[in-house]
Amino acid sequence: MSRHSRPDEKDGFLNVPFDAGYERNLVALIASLTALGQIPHCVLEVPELGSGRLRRLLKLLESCRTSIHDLSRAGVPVRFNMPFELGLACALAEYRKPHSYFIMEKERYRVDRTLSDLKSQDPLIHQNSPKRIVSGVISALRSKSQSPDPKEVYKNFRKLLVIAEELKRDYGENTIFSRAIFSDLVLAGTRLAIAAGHIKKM
Amino acid sequence: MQKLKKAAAETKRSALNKNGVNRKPAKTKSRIGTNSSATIKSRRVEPWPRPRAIHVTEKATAREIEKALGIKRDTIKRVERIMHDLEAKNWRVD
Repeated sequence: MSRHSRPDEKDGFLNVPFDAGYERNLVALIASLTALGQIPHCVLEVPELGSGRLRRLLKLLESCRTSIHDLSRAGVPVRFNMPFELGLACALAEYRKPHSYFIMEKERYRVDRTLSDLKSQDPLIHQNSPKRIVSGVISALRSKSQSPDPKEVYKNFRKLLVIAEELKRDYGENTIFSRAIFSDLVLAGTRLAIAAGHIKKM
Repeated sequence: MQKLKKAAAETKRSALNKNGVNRKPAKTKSRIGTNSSATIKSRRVEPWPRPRAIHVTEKATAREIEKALGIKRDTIKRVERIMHDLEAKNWRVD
């Protein structure tokens, strides 16, 4: 994958937990971002090759114009990856503009207690509901030229869920958290968004 | 007298078009010379407005996504087939 030093407006980085209970939420995020004409990326695309995973992760994050960080699963057992990647995004936004980041949380005011340094930020509270994720991401990232109807995006999310199940069966995997399934879902999400008229063909 | 009246009405009608508007308005002093060839030549012709630049996010087509994600052609065909089959089943899994 060729990455440019200047962040691409179309690229969005997803910093989310990889557990079975989060699959629907990840699919909702993919459906929302593709409806906005963005290309979702995540750490699954960074293979473990022993050549400095952190450097490759940083390069991927640097190449994305926006990043979404879900801190809803940063509970016990403590997982530091998501807060760590959020810290990297904060540093990027501060020192290597342009980069904007969004925080997602399950419960209201929880991030005020767990991460009081970011009290000025208003996190997107999704209550573990894909519907809320779709409407929240659309309202946060919509623009004049890209403002799909959340109801239509939710319909695409339902279709993408079915595709995810089919892909899991095809690849013989138990979860969607694999590099191949993730990129296939992004491709399918984009196709659905084009078919629904959310993004225009060239 | 009748003939004269008829001739006057005919002249008046011929000066009007079908909408009842004068075909050729009389030239007033201020209009004289404005249509001369010299004026037309020197008149600046505005170019057609350029088409609006397409917003970068609108360009995110499937092909671009495929390129950005480094997806191979056979994978694309497979995803297309899955989507086609599911669409035929009205998005229901067996």
